[in-house]
Amino acid sequence: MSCDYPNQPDANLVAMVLQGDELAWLALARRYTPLVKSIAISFGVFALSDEVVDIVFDTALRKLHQLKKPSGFKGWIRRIAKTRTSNFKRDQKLDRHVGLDALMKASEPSACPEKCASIKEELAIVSAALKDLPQVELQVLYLSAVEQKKGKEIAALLDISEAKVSKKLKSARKRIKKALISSSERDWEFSGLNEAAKALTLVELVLK
Amino acid sequence: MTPKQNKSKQDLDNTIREAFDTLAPHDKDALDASLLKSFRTWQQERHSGDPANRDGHKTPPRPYTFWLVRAIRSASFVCPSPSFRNMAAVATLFLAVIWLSQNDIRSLVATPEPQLSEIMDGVGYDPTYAPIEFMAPGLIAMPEDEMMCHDHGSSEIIAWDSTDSDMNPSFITAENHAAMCQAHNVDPQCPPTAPPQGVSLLGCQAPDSLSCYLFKTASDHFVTSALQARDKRTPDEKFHSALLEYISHPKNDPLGGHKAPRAFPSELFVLVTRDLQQAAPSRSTIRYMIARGGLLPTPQEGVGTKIRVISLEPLTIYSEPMKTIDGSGLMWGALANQALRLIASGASAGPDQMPNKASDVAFTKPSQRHTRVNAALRSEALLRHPKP
Repeated sequence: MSCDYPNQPDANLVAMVLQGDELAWLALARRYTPLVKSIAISFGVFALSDEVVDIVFDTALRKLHQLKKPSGFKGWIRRIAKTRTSNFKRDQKLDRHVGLDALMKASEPSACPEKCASIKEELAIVSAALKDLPQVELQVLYLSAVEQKKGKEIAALLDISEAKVSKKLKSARKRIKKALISSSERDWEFSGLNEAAKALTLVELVLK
Repeated sequence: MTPKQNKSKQDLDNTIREAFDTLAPHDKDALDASLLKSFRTWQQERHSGDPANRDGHKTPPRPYTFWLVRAIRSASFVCPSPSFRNMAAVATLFLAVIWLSQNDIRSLVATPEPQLSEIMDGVGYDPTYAPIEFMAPGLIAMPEDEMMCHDHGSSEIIAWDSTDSDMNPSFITAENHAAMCQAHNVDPQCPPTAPPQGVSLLGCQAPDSLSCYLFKTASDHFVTSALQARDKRTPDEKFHSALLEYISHPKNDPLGGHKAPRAFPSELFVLVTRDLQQAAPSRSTIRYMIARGGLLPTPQEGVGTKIRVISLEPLTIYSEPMKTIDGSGLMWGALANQALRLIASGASAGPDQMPNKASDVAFTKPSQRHTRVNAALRSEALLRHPKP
């Protein structure tokens, strides 16, 4: 008998998992992976966020029999995710690892060096701005931009209002845009200074 | 307006997505595989005979500090007035100190100390048998002049060490093997489980090392231990040093002089005891460091380094008796033996070979640009272990 796992409510999936249904477990894990990953990211664990997701679900599985209300799985997994992420962060001290994929991407020879350099620069600015975002904004932005979740879905996942989601999204985008603009203004000022210096040197040469 | 200022919402979202992908890469397949593996291990544990495992993990005993803090907090809550709360806390602490001084603190701090034989039962080894099996001459196919060992005393266990210069090295010969067997009341003729042909064990550090790494290449194996109980370095640093040790121990030519570079390891076994899992480096770290060390294969070779993280029982090995050289030597011997058996059994980490979780991750990403980093790492290794 086929079972429509993605549309099953949490309580049913939890019951199936306890009966030993591994597909139910996979469906449950896939449903809440974005939430757990967004929590890991909001705590500042970036490169090893998959590792945290793995740890969180492993813990959840081993404690599943202690879950009194299976319908409250979402809140429960969120609590586990927060505790485990902060423990993980404490153990790791610093999330200083660069993903291998990122390493490979960065070393690929590019056909258009100038364009690629500008893209890389932009990425660096955005990455730095992301790290400076407040927790909730980072979480909402991740769910929207990467997991492609709608405002309503994000609100349901995080148990906040839709209006708050849209406000946080707007604020996060604004901050990132501001970081981009301020960096470009610095570039302009710098290039302006360079031009002035060149002109001065030219004048000096002419005078000589 | 500069191009950066002129970004549309869609462009901005794309850049953000790309930044997230770079910062926090997501490997869905690997995660799914890992989730399924956890589920199967959990199922196995539930159906195992151990009633403590039936519904999840065994809960480790709380440390005494937990109960002390609990007592202080309870005492504080009982007091209605804030000024009395501090007094109550101090009084509880005072009483606790008196109580601790009158009791054997060690019995409070440590869990009941397991006997060595119990520990060895946990990993399936006879404590008197395991080290002898490990050091028996002729069983380990390696040149005799590399078989360095040190003896910590007549009744203690010989452990392999080719790096510690403070130790007085001696070679395993038939004579000292016989002496050792006699010291341990073991029949020198006892037929131990022979490791497979071609297995060589080079660098190992025995005292209080509870876990080890085993680099396996097509032609040989290299075992090194870097996770030591008293070592305060981070897991990453420990793995880094293990990697350095591996690289800086080029394959020895029996004729001496020339040292061939090491081949890429086809497999890496990370043997971690369960209670040290928190101290083990993550798979991503291992993957990253192997890439940095230039040990990932080039696309021409077309093979990947397979990493197996293997957890070993028992839970309680990090307790008082294991802190002694004797105990850790035994444990190390047992771990190394597990590794050897794993290889002998065709390197399949099933429940028969390993009692617990075994996760396989195969990395087949090509690596082209690590030559420079690799050279740097090798020179770092040479600085630490200069050629004679």
